[in-house]
Amino acid sequence: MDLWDFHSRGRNEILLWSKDLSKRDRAALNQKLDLLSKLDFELAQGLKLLAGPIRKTRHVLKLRVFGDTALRPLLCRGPDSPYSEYTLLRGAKETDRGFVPQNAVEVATQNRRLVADRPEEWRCPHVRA
Amino acid sequence: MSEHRKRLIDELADAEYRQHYAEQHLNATLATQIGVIREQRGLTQARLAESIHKHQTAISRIENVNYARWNVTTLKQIASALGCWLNVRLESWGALVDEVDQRSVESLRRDRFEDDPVFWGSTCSEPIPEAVRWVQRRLFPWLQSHPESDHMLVDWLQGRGLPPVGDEDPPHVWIIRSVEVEGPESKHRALLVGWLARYLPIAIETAKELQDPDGFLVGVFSLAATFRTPALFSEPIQEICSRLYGNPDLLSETAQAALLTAVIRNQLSPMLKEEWLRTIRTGGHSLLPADELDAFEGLKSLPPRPNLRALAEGLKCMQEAIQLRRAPLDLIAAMRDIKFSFPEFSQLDQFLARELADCGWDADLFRAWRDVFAPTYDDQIRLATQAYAFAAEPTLLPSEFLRLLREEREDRQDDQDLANAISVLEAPLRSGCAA
Repeated sequence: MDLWDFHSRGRNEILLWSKDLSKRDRAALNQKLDLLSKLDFELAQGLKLLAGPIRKTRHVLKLRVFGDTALRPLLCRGPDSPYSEYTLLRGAKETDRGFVPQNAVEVATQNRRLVADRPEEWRCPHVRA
Repeated sequence: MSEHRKRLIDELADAEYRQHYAEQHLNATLATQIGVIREQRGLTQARLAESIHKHQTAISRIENVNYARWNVTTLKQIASALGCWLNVRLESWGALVDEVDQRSVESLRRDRFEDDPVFWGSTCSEPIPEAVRWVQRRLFPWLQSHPESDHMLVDWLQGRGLPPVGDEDPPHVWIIRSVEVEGPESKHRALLVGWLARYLPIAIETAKELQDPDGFLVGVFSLAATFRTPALFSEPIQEICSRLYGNPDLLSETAQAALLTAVIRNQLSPMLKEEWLRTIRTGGHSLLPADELDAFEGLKSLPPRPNLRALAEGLKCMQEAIQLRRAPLDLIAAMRDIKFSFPEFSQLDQFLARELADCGWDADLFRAWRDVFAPTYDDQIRLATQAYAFAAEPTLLPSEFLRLLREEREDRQDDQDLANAISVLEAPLRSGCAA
Protein backbone atom coordinates (compact mmCIF):
# COMPACT_ATOMS: atom_id res chain seq x y z
CA MET A 1 0.00 0.00 0.00
CA ASP A 2 1.31 3.46 -0.87
CA LEU A 3 1.11 6.21 1.74
CA TRP A 4 0.50 9.85 0.85
CA ASP A 5 0.51 13.03 2.94
CA PHE A 6 -1.87 15.97 2.66
CA HIS A 7 0.14 18.81 1.25
CA SER A 8 -0.96 22.42 1.09
CA ARG A 9 0.84 25.29 -0.63
CA GLY A 10 4.23 23.64 -0.40
CA ARG A 11 3.70 22.57 3.24
CA ASN A 12 3.48 18.91 4.10
CA GLU A 13 0.92 19.19 6.90
CA ILE A 14 1.50 15.67 8.18
CA LEU A 15 5.27 16.10 8.34
CA LEU A 16 4.86 19.39 10.21
CA TRP A 17 2.56 17.72 12.74
CA SER A 18 4.75 14.68 13.28
CA LYS A 19 7.92 16.76 13.69
CA ASP A 20 6.43 18.19 16.88
CA LEU A 21 5.91 14.76 18.44
CA SER A 22 8.19 13.29 21.10
CA LYS A 23 10.80 10.78 19.99
CA ARG A 24 8.83 7.87 21.48
CA ASP A 25 5.64 9.03 19.81
CA ARG A 26 7.42 9.32 16.47
CA ALA A 27 8.79 5.80 16.85
CA ALA A 28 5.30 4.48 17.57
CA LEU A 29 3.80 6.42 14.68
CA ASN A 30 6.42 5.32 12.16
CA GLN A 31 6.14 1.70 13.25
CA LYS A 32 2.38 1.74 12.74
CA LEU A 33 2.71 3.40 9.35
CA ASP A 34 5.30 0.78 8.31
CA LEU A 35 2.81 -1.89 9.32
CA LEU A 36 -0.12 -0.16 7.61
CA SER A 37 1.79 -0.09 4.33
CA LYS A 38 1.92 -3.90 4.39
CA LEU A 39 -1.66 -4.76 5.33
CA ASP A 40 -4.78 -4.71 3.29
CA PHE A 41 -7.66 -2.69 4.65
CA GLU A 42 -9.72 -5.51 6.14
CA LEU A 43 -6.76 -6.99 7.98
CA ALA A 44 -5.74 -3.55 9.29
CA GLN A 45 -9.26 -3.12 10.64
CA GLY A 46 -9.33 -6.65 12.06
CA LEU A 47 -6.11 -5.97 13.96
CA LYS A 48 -7.56 -2.70 15.25
CA LEU A 49 -4.85 -0.68 13.61
CA LEU A 50 -7.50 1.30 11.79
CA ALA A 51 -10.86 2.42 13.10
CA GLY A 52 -13.68 4.16 11.35
CA PRO A 53 -15.18 5.63 9.28
CA ILE A 54 -15.47 8.22 12.02
CA ARG A 55 -19.00 9.19 13.01
CA LYS A 56 -20.64 11.70 10.67
CA THR A 57 -18.08 11.06 7.93
CA ARG A 58 -18.16 8.49 5.18
CA HIS A 59 -14.50 8.09 4.48
CA VAL A 60 -12.34 9.39 7.32
CA LEU A 61 -10.52 6.72 9.32
CA LYS A 62 -8.21 7.00 12.29
CA LEU A 63 -4.91 5.21 12.77
CA ARG A 64 -4.67 3.91 16.34
CA VAL A 65 -1.23 4.60 17.77
CA PHE A 66 -0.42 4.36 21.45
CA GLY A 67 2.80 6.18 22.23
CA ASP A 68 3.18 8.50 25.20
CA THR A 69 -0.07 9.99 23.96
CA ALA A 70 -2.95 8.54 21.98
CA LEU A 71 -2.02 9.57 18.46
CA ARG A 72 -4.87 9.37 15.99
CA PRO A 73 -3.77 10.66 12.61
CA LEU A 74 -6.80 10.84 10.33
CA LEU A 75 -6.64 9.28 6.92
CA CYS A 76 -8.69 7.84 4.11
CA ARG A 77 -8.38 4.99 1.65
CA GLY A 78 -7.41 6.13 -1.82
CA PRO A 79 -9.09 8.37 -2.75
CA ASP A 80 -7.88 7.32 -6.22
CA SER A 81 -7.16 3.65 -5.59
CA PRO A 82 -8.81 2.47 -2.39
CA TYR A 83 -7.13 -0.94 -2.60
CA SER A 84 -3.59 0.27 -2.96
CA GLU A 85 -3.15 3.58 -1.14
CA TYR A 86 -3.94 5.61 1.94
CA THR A 87 -3.78 9.39 2.26
CA LEU A 88 -2.95 10.91 5.66
CA LEU A 89 -5.24 13.91 5.95
CA ARG A 90 -4.69 15.48 9.35
CA GLY A 91 -2.50 14.88 12.37
CA ALA A 92 -4.50 14.52 15.58
CA LYS A 93 -4.46 13.14 19.10
CA GLU A 94 -7.39 11.78 21.06
CA THR A 95 -8.30 12.47 24.66
CA ASP A 96 -11.39 11.59 26.66
CA ARG A 97 -12.85 14.87 25.44
CA GLY A 98 -12.39 14.05 21.78
CA PHE A 99 -9.85 14.96 19.14
CA VAL A 100 -7.09 17.50 19.54
CA PRO A 101 -7.38 19.76 17.63
CA GLN A 102 -11.13 19.76 18.09
CA ASN A 103 -11.87 20.44 14.43
CA ALA A 104 -9.55 17.66 13.20
CA VAL A 105 -12.35 15.60 11.67
CA GLU A 106 -13.87 18.55 9.82
CA VAL A 107 -10.44 19.54 8.48
CA ALA A 108 -9.72 15.96 7.46
CA THR A 109 -13.05 15.77 5.61
CA GLN A 110 -12.32 19.02 3.82
CA ASN A 111 -8.77 17.89 3.00
CA ARG A 112 -10.05 14.64 1.55
CA ARG A 113 -12.37 16.55 -0.71
CA LEU A 114 -9.46 18.64 -1.98
CA VAL A 115 -7.29 15.59 -2.56
CA ALA A 116 -10.08 13.75 -4.36
CA ASP A 117 -10.58 16.71 -6.71
CA ARG A 118 -6.93 17.36 -7.52
CA PRO A 119 -4.60 14.80 -6.00
CA GLU A 120 -1.49 16.08 -7.79
CA GLU A 121 -1.95 19.49 -6.16
CA TRP A 122 -2.94 18.48 -2.64
CA ARG A 123 -0.83 15.53 -1.69
CA CYS A 124 2.71 14.16 -1.90
CA PRO A 125 4.32 10.79 -1.09
CA HIS A 126 4.52 10.23 2.66
CA VAL A 127 7.61 11.65 4.37
CA ARG A 128 8.69 10.28 7.77
CA ALA A 129 9.55 12.71 10.50
CA MET B 1 19.40 -0.18 -0.83
CA SER B 2 15.83 1.11 -0.77
CA GLU B 3 15.09 4.63 0.46
CA HIS B 4 12.88 3.18 3.20
CA ARG B 5 15.67 0.94 4.45
CA LYS B 6 18.18 3.80 4.52
CA ARG B 7 15.73 5.93 6.45
CA LEU B 8 15.03 3.14 8.93
CA ILE B 9 18.74 2.63 9.56
CA ASP B 10 19.16 6.35 10.27
CA GLU B 11 16.20 6.38 12.64
CA LEU B 12 17.27 3.30 14.57
CA ALA B 13 20.67 4.86 15.27
CA ASP B 14 18.97 6.67 18.15
CA ALA B 15 18.79 4.39 21.21
CA GLU B 16 15.55 5.71 22.70
CA TYR B 17 13.82 5.67 19.32
CA ARG B 18 14.88 2.12 18.46
CA GLN B 19 13.84 0.73 21.84
CA HIS B 20 10.37 2.13 21.45
CA TYR B 21 10.09 1.18 17.78
CA ALA B 22 11.13 -2.41 18.55
CA GLU B 23 8.60 -2.70 21.37
CA GLN B 24 5.80 -1.53 19.08
CA HIS B 25 7.05 -3.83 16.34
CA LEU B 26 7.05 -6.84 18.64
CA ASN B 27 3.47 -6.28 19.80
CA ALA B 28 2.22 -5.57 16.30
CA THR B 29 4.00 -8.55 14.73
CA LEU B 30 2.66 -10.95 17.34
CA ALA B 31 -0.88 -9.70 16.89
CA THR B 32 -0.64 -9.78 13.11
CA GLN B 33 0.87 -13.24 12.96
CA ILE B 34 -1.69 -14.77 15.27
CA GLY B 35 -4.50 -13.21 13.24
CA VAL B 36 -2.99 -14.29 9.93
CA ILE B 37 -2.32 -17.89 10.99
CA ARG B 38 -5.74 -18.18 12.61
CA GLU B 39 -7.32 -17.12 9.32
CA GLN B 40 -4.98 -19.49 7.47
CA ARG B 41 -6.41 -22.33 9.58
CA GLY B 42 -9.99 -21.19 8.97
CA LEU B 43 -10.62 -20.64 12.68
CA THR B 44 -12.78 -17.99 14.26
CA GLN B 45 -11.50 -16.15 17.33
CA ALA B 46 -14.15 -17.97 19.34
CA ARG B 47 -13.02 -21.40 18.11
CA LEU B 48 -9.36 -20.67 18.84
CA ALA B 49 -10.27 -19.33 22.28
CA GLU B 50 -12.31 -22.44 22.99
CA SER B 51 -9.39 -24.69 22.15
CA ILE B 52 -7.23 -23.00 24.83
CA HIS B 53 -10.06 -22.66 27.33
CA LYS B 54 -10.27 -18.90 27.13
CA HIS B 55 -12.93 -16.40 26.16
CA GLN B 56 -13.09 -14.99 22.63
CA THR B 57 -12.23 -11.54 23.97
CA ALA B 58 -8.83 -12.84 25.06
CA ILE B 59 -7.99 -13.65 21.43
CA SER B 60 -9.49 -10.38 20.26
CA ARG B 61 -7.23 -8.53 22.72
CA ILE B 62 -4.09 -10.33 21.66
CA GLU B 63 -4.90 -9.72 17.99
CA ASN B 64 -4.88 -5.99 18.68
CA VAL B 65 -1.63 -4.50 17.34
CA ASN B 66 -1.49 -2.10 20.29
CA TYR B 67 -1.88 -4.77 22.98
CA ALA B 68 1.29 -5.11 25.05
CA ARG B 69 0.32 -7.21 28.08
CA TRP B 70 0.52 -10.67 26.54
CA ASN B 71 2.40 -13.42 28.37
CA VAL B 72 4.50 -16.32 27.19
CA THR B 73 2.24 -18.98 28.70
CA THR B 74 -0.74 -17.79 26.69
CA LEU B 75 1.37 -17.43 23.56
CA LYS B 76 2.59 -21.00 23.97
CA GLN B 77 -1.02 -22.19 24.24
CA ILE B 78 -2.01 -20.25 21.13
CA ALA B 79 1.01 -21.50 19.17
CA SER B 80 0.16 -25.06 20.07
CA ALA B 81 -3.51 -24.64 19.16
CA LEU B 82 -2.46 -23.23 15.77
CA GLY B 83 -0.11 -26.15 15.12
CA CYS B 84 3.08 -24.12 15.58
CA TRP B 85 5.78 -23.68 18.21
CA LEU B 86 6.73 -20.50 20.03
CA ASN B 87 10.22 -19.17 19.35
CA VAL B 88 11.47 -16.52 21.82
CA ARG B 89 14.97 -15.25 21.19
CA LEU B 90 17.19 -12.19 21.31
CA GLU B 91 18.11 -10.43 18.09
CA SER B 92 20.59 -7.88 16.85
CA TRP B 93 19.28 -4.50 15.73
CA GLY B 94 20.24 -5.23 12.14
CA ALA B 95 17.74 -8.08 12.18
CA LEU B 96 15.00 -5.56 12.97
CA VAL B 97 15.89 -3.56 9.87
CA ASP B 98 15.78 -6.71 7.73
CA GLU B 99 12.52 -7.78 9.25
CA VAL B 100 10.74 -4.46 8.78
CA ASP B 101 12.18 -3.99 5.32
CA GLN B 102 11.42 -7.42 3.96
CA ARG B 103 8.55 -8.85 5.94
CA SER B 104 5.18 -9.23 4.27
CA VAL B 105 1.92 -10.62 5.59
CA GLU B 106 2.60 -13.66 3.47
CA SER B 107 5.86 -14.32 5.27
CA LEU B 108 4.00 -14.54 8.60
CA ARG B 109 2.01 -17.59 7.57
CA ARG B 110 3.17 -20.94 8.88
CA ASP B 111 2.48 -24.44 7.63
CA ARG B 112 0.83 -27.00 9.87
CA PHE B 113 3.06 -29.92 10.71
CA GLU B 114 1.25 -32.10 8.18
CA ASP B 115 1.83 -29.54 5.41
CA ASP B 116 5.42 -28.74 6.30
CA PRO B 117 7.64 -29.82 3.38
CA VAL B 118 10.49 -30.50 5.80
CA PHE B 119 8.58 -33.50 7.05
CA TRP B 120 7.36 -34.78 3.72
CA GLY B 121 8.56 -38.29 3.13
CA SER B 122 10.04 -38.58 6.60
CA THR B 123 8.99 -38.08 10.20
CA CYS B 124 11.08 -37.33 13.23
CA SER B 125 10.75 -40.85 14.50
CA GLU B 126 11.60 -42.61 11.26
CA PRO B 127 15.19 -43.15 10.15
CA ILE B 128 16.30 -41.41 6.98
CA PRO B 129 15.70 -43.79 4.06
CA GLU B 130 18.84 -45.31 2.59
CA ALA B 131 18.05 -43.87 -0.83
CA VAL B 132 18.09 -40.35 0.61
CA ARG B 133 21.33 -41.13 2.45
CA TRP B 134 22.78 -42.21 -0.88
CA VAL B 135 22.00 -38.80 -2.40
CA GLN B 136 23.29 -37.00 0.70
CA ARG B 137 26.61 -38.86 0.66
CA ARG B 138 27.32 -37.50 -2.82
CA LEU B 139 25.54 -34.16 -2.72
CA PHE B 140 26.84 -32.73 0.57
CA PRO B 141 30.57 -33.00 -0.11
CA TRP B 142 29.96 -31.67 -3.60
CA LEU B 143 28.03 -28.65 -2.28
CA GLN B 144 30.61 -27.91 0.42
CA SER B 145 33.49 -27.93 -2.01
CA HIS B 146 31.97 -24.98 -3.97
CA PRO B 147 32.28 -26.93 -7.19
CA GLU B 148 33.35 -25.28 -10.39
CA SER B 149 31.85 -28.11 -12.42
CA ASP B 150 28.08 -28.43 -12.40
CA HIS B 151 27.98 -31.78 -14.13
CA MET B 152 26.71 -33.84 -11.23
CA LEU B 153 23.56 -31.85 -10.51
CA VAL B 154 22.89 -31.15 -14.18
CA ASP B 155 23.07 -34.89 -14.84
CA TRP B 156 20.90 -35.73 -11.83
CA LEU B 157 18.20 -33.29 -12.89
CA GLN B 158 18.02 -35.14 -16.20
CA GLY B 159 17.60 -38.39 -14.31
CA ARG B 160 21.12 -39.54 -15.09
CA GLY B 161 23.36 -40.92 -12.37
CA LEU B 162 20.63 -41.42 -9.77
CA PRO B 163 19.70 -45.08 -10.36
CA PRO B 164 20.00 -46.27 -6.72
CA VAL B 165 17.11 -44.03 -5.60
CA GLY B 166 14.69 -45.51 -8.08
CA ASP B 167 12.50 -43.83 -10.66
CA GLU B 168 9.20 -43.62 -8.79
CA ASP B 169 9.77 -39.89 -8.21
CA PRO B 170 11.33 -37.23 -10.47
CA PRO B 171 15.04 -36.59 -9.79
CA HIS B 172 14.55 -33.15 -8.24
CA VAL B 173 12.34 -34.71 -5.54
CA TRP B 174 15.25 -36.84 -4.34
CA ILE B 175 17.49 -33.80 -4.23
CA ILE B 176 14.89 -31.87 -2.22
CA ARG B 177 14.45 -34.75 0.22
CA SER B 178 18.15 -35.01 0.82
CA VAL B 179 18.53 -31.38 1.93
CA GLU B 180 15.15 -31.03 3.66
CA VAL B 181 15.71 -33.98 5.96
CA GLU B 182 17.92 -31.81 8.14
CA GLY B 183 15.36 -29.03 8.44
CA PRO B 184 15.02 -25.54 7.02
CA GLU B 185 18.21 -24.21 8.61
CA SER B 186 20.36 -26.80 6.92
CA LYS B 187 23.53 -25.33 5.50
CA HIS B 188 23.24 -27.76 2.61
CA ARG B 189 19.89 -26.37 1.72
CA ALA B 190 21.39 -22.87 1.73
CA LEU B 191 24.28 -24.02 -0.46
CA LEU B 192 21.88 -25.60 -2.91
CA VAL B 193 19.81 -22.41 -2.99
CA GLY B 194 23.00 -20.51 -3.80
CA TRP B 195 23.79 -22.91 -6.63
CA LEU B 196 20.28 -22.50 -7.97
CA ALA B 197 20.48 -18.70 -7.87
CA ARG B 198 23.63 -18.87 -10.00
CA TYR B 199 22.09 -21.39 -12.38
CA LEU B 200 18.64 -19.94 -13.03
CA PRO B 201 19.85 -17.09 -15.28
CA ILE B 202 21.62 -19.56 -17.58
CA ALA B 203 19.17 -22.45 -17.26
CA ILE B 204 17.55 -22.09 -20.68
CA GLU B 205 20.89 -21.68 -22.46
CA THR B 206 22.30 -24.70 -20.64
CA ALA B 207 19.24 -26.82 -21.44
CA LYS B 208 19.71 -26.34 -25.17
CA GLU B 209 22.88 -28.39 -25.05
CA LEU B 210 21.49 -31.27 -22.95
CA GLN B 211 20.02 -34.64 -23.87
CA ASP B 212 16.88 -34.07 -21.81
CA PRO B 213 16.39 -30.28 -21.74
CA ASP B 214 12.80 -30.56 -20.61
CA GLY B 215 13.58 -32.77 -17.61
CA PHE B 216 16.41 -30.46 -16.62
CA LEU B 217 14.28 -27.29 -16.78
CA VAL B 218 11.37 -28.91 -14.93
CA GLY B 219 13.88 -29.90 -12.23
CA VAL B 220 15.44 -26.43 -11.96
CA PHE B 221 12.06 -24.66 -11.83
CA SER B 222 10.69 -27.18 -9.34
CA LEU B 223 13.67 -26.61 -7.06
CA ALA B 224 13.09 -22.85 -7.31
CA ALA B 225 9.43 -23.39 -6.42
CA THR B 226 10.24 -25.58 -3.44
CA PHE B 227 13.04 -23.45 -2.00
CA ARG B 228 11.08 -20.26 -2.50
CA THR B 229 13.63 -17.46 -2.03
CA PRO B 230 12.18 -14.37 -3.72
CA ALA B 231 15.23 -12.22 -3.01
CA LEU B 232 17.41 -14.50 -5.13
CA PHE B 233 15.01 -16.12 -7.56
CA SER B 234 12.40 -13.59 -8.60
CA GLU B 235 14.68 -11.56 -10.87
CA PRO B 236 16.03 -14.45 -12.99
CA ILE B 237 12.57 -16.02 -13.13
CA GLN B 238 11.13 -12.75 -14.31
CA GLU B 239 13.82 -12.57 -16.96
CA ILE B 240 12.87 -16.04 -18.20
CA CYS B 241 9.20 -15.05 -18.31
CA SER B 242 10.03 -11.93 -20.32
CA ARG B 243 11.78 -14.06 -22.90
CA LEU B 244 8.78 -16.38 -23.08
CA TYR B 245 6.44 -13.55 -24.05
CA GLY B 246 8.01 -13.27 -27.45
CA ASN B 247 8.70 -16.96 -27.85
CA PRO B 248 6.17 -19.19 -26.09
CA ASP B 249 7.46 -22.36 -27.73
CA LEU B 250 10.79 -22.00 -25.96
CA LEU B 251 9.53 -24.27 -23.18
CA SER B 252 7.38 -27.37 -23.18
CA GLU B 253 4.01 -27.23 -21.44
CA THR B 254 5.39 -29.21 -18.50
CA ALA B 255 8.32 -26.84 -18.09
CA GLN B 256 5.98 -23.85 -18.39
CA ALA B 257 3.81 -25.27 -15.62
CA ALA B 258 6.85 -25.79 -13.41
CA LEU B 259 8.00 -22.26 -14.18
CA LEU B 260 4.59 -20.88 -13.28
CA THR B 261 4.72 -22.63 -9.93
CA ALA B 262 8.16 -21.11 -9.33
CA VAL B 263 6.75 -17.72 -10.29
CA ILE B 264 3.88 -18.01 -7.85
CA ARG B 265 5.95 -19.25 -4.96
CA ASN B 266 8.59 -16.59 -5.37
CA GLN B 267 6.21 -13.64 -5.15
CA LEU B 268 4.78 -12.00 -8.18
CA SER B 269 5.76 -8.75 -9.78
CA PRO B 270 2.85 -6.86 -11.40
CA MET B 271 3.85 -8.26 -14.76
CA LEU B 272 3.78 -11.84 -13.48
CA LYS B 273 0.47 -11.27 -11.78
CA GLU B 274 -0.94 -10.50 -15.20
CA GLU B 275 0.56 -13.73 -16.46
CA TRP B 276 -1.12 -15.64 -13.65
CA LEU B 277 -4.43 -13.98 -14.38
CA ARG B 278 -4.16 -14.85 -18.03
CA THR B 279 -3.35 -18.43 -17.16
CA ILE B 280 -6.36 -18.81 -14.92
CA ARG B 281 -8.60 -17.26 -17.57
CA THR B 282 -7.44 -19.64 -20.24
CA GLY B 283 -7.38 -22.61 -17.90
CA GLY B 284 -3.85 -23.32 -19.02
CA HIS B 285 -2.17 -24.10 -15.73
CA SER B 286 -1.94 -27.85 -15.60
CA LEU B 287 -0.74 -27.76 -12.00
CA LEU B 288 -3.74 -25.86 -10.73
CA PRO B 289 -5.98 -28.77 -9.80
CA ALA B 290 -3.06 -30.53 -8.17
CA ASP B 291 -1.98 -27.91 -5.73
CA GLU B 292 -4.54 -25.75 -4.05
CA LEU B 293 -1.90 -23.77 -2.21
CA ASP B 294 -0.42 -22.58 -5.47
CA ALA B 295 -3.83 -21.70 -6.73
CA PHE B 296 -4.57 -19.81 -3.58
CA GLU B 297 -1.29 -17.89 -3.67
CA GLY B 298 -2.04 -16.97 -7.23
CA LEU B 299 -5.57 -15.90 -6.47
CA LYS B 300 -4.39 -13.69 -3.66
CA SER B 301 -1.90 -12.07 -5.97
CA LEU B 302 -4.46 -10.97 -8.49
CA PRO B 303 -4.37 -7.24 -9.16
CA PRO B 304 -6.78 -4.99 -7.26
CA ARG B 305 -10.29 -4.85 -8.67
CA PRO B 306 -9.88 -8.25 -10.22
CA ASN B 307 -11.87 -9.86 -12.90
CA LEU B 308 -14.38 -11.73 -10.78
CA ARG B 309 -14.68 -14.40 -13.38
CA ALA B 310 -11.00 -15.28 -12.92
CA LEU B 311 -11.56 -15.41 -9.20
CA ALA B 312 -14.62 -17.62 -9.51
CA GLU B 313 -12.84 -19.94 -11.92
CA GLY B 314 -9.81 -20.13 -9.67
CA LEU B 315 -11.98 -21.03 -6.71
CA LYS B 316 -13.67 -23.70 -8.76
CA CYS B 317 -10.28 -25.20 -9.63
CA MET B 318 -9.29 -25.09 -5.99
CA GLN B 319 -12.49 -26.77 -4.97
CA GLU B 320 -11.70 -29.69 -7.24
CA ALA B 321 -8.22 -29.93 -5.76
CA ILE B 322 -9.51 -29.66 -2.24
CA GLN B 323 -12.12 -32.33 -2.78
CA LEU B 324 -9.41 -34.69 -3.93
CA ARG B 325 -7.73 -34.22 -0.59
CA ARG B 326 -10.98 -34.14 1.35
CA ALA B 327 -10.22 -30.96 3.22
CA PRO B 328 -13.32 -28.78 3.07
CA LEU B 329 -11.92 -26.57 5.82
CA ASP B 330 -9.24 -25.41 3.39
CA LEU B 331 -11.96 -24.14 1.12
CA ILE B 332 -13.50 -22.15 3.96
CA ALA B 333 -10.05 -20.81 4.86
CA ALA B 334 -9.43 -19.82 1.26
CA MET B 335 -12.80 -18.09 1.11
CA ARG B 336 -12.01 -16.15 4.26
CA ASP B 337 -8.81 -14.83 2.74
CA ILE B 338 -10.60 -14.06 -0.48
CA LYS B 339 -13.08 -12.10 1.60
CA PHE B 340 -10.28 -9.89 2.89
CA SER B 341 -8.54 -9.55 -0.45
CA PHE B 342 -11.58 -9.03 -2.65
CA PRO B 343 -14.48 -7.44 -0.81
CA GLU B 344 -16.26 -7.01 -4.16
CA PHE B 345 -16.83 -10.72 -4.14
CA SER B 346 -19.46 -10.36 -1.47
CA GLN B 347 -21.53 -8.00 -3.59
CA LEU B 348 -24.31 -9.86 -5.24
CA ASP B 349 -25.28 -8.50 -8.56
CA GLN B 350 -26.23 -9.87 -11.92
CA PHE B 351 -22.65 -9.86 -13.07
CA LEU B 352 -21.40 -12.02 -10.23
CA ALA B 353 -24.34 -14.38 -10.53
CA ARG B 354 -23.53 -14.87 -14.20
CA GLU B 355 -19.86 -15.51 -13.44
CA LEU B 356 -20.63 -18.08 -10.77
CA ALA B 357 -23.19 -19.85 -12.89
CA ASP B 358 -20.87 -19.95 -15.92
CA CYS B 359 -18.04 -21.33 -13.83
CA GLY B 360 -20.19 -24.19 -12.63
CA TRP B 361 -20.31 -23.27 -8.98
CA ASP B 362 -21.94 -25.99 -7.01
CA ALA B 363 -23.18 -26.96 -3.58
CA ASP B 364 -19.87 -26.89 -1.68
CA LEU B 365 -18.77 -23.56 -3.03
CA PHE B 366 -22.20 -22.08 -2.52
CA ARG B 367 -22.23 -23.29 1.06
CA ALA B 368 -18.70 -22.01 1.69
CA TRP B 369 -19.62 -18.64 0.23
CA ARG B 370 -22.72 -18.52 2.43
CA ASP B 371 -20.77 -19.47 5.56
CA VAL B 372 -18.01 -16.96 5.05
CA PHE B 373 -19.69 -13.93 3.54
CA ALA B 374 -22.87 -14.37 5.59
CA PRO B 375 -25.08 -12.71 2.96
CA THR B 376 -28.54 -11.56 3.90
CA TYR B 377 -31.52 -13.74 3.23
CA ASP B 378 -32.63 -11.53 0.36
CA ASP B 379 -29.16 -11.59 -1.17
CA GLN B 380 -29.09 -15.37 -1.15
CA ILE B 381 -32.45 -15.60 -2.84
CA ARG B 382 -31.41 -13.00 -5.41
CA LEU B 383 -28.18 -14.83 -6.21
CA ALA B 384 -29.90 -18.17 -6.54
CA THR B 385 -32.64 -16.71 -8.74
CA GLN B 386 -30.23 -14.83 -10.97
CA ALA B 387 -27.89 -17.77 -11.24
CA TYR B 388 -30.87 -19.82 -12.35
CA ALA B 389 -31.49 -17.38 -15.16
CA PHE B 390 -27.90 -17.49 -16.39
CA ALA B 391 -26.78 -21.05 -15.81
CA ALA B 392 -26.28 -23.36 -18.73
CA GLU B 393 -27.42 -26.20 -16.47
CA PRO B 394 -29.89 -24.30 -14.40
CA THR B 395 -30.32 -26.56 -11.46
CA LEU B 396 -27.11 -26.34 -9.49
CA LEU B 397 -27.32 -23.17 -7.42
CA PRO B 398 -31.08 -22.83 -7.07
CA SER B 399 -31.60 -26.47 -6.23
CA GLU B 400 -28.86 -26.41 -3.62
CA PHE B 401 -30.26 -23.27 -2.12
CA LEU B 402 -33.73 -24.72 -2.28
CA ARG B 403 -32.54 -27.73 -0.35
CA LEU B 404 -31.08 -25.52 2.37
CA LEU B 405 -34.30 -23.54 2.58
CA ARG B 406 -36.39 -26.68 2.82
CA GLU B 407 -34.23 -27.87 5.69
CA GLU B 408 -34.74 -24.55 7.43
CA ARG B 409 -38.49 -24.81 6.94
CA GLU B 410 -38.57 -27.89 9.12
CA ASP B 411 -37.72 -25.64 12.06
CA ARG B 412 -39.68 -22.60 10.94
CA GLN B 413 -43.01 -23.83 9.68
CA ASP B 414 -44.74 -20.48 10.27
CA ASP B 415 -42.23 -18.28 8.49
CA GLN B 416 -44.17 -16.80 5.57
CA ASP B 417 -41.09 -15.13 3.98
CA LEU B 418 -39.34 -18.46 3.92
CA ALA B 419 -42.36 -20.11 2.33
CA ASN B 420 -42.46 -17.37 -0.33
CA ALA B 421 -38.75 -17.79 -1.07
CA ILE B 422 -39.20 -21.51 -1.56
CA SER B 423 -42.14 -20.87 -3.82
CA VAL B 424 -40.14 -18.37 -5.91
CA LEU B 425 -37.34 -20.85 -6.41
CA GLU B 426 -39.57 -23.84 -7.02
CA ALA B 427 -41.52 -22.19 -9.82
CA PRO B 428 -38.81 -22.14 -12.52
CA LEU B 429 -37.61 -25.59 -11.55
CA ARG B 430 -41.13 -26.94 -11.88
CA SER B 431 -41.57 -25.36 -15.30
CA GLY B 432 -38.12 -26.67 -16.31
CA CYS B 433 -39.17 -30.19 -15.37
CA ALA B 434 -42.43 -29.82 -17.22
CA ALA B 435 -40.59 -28.69 -20.34
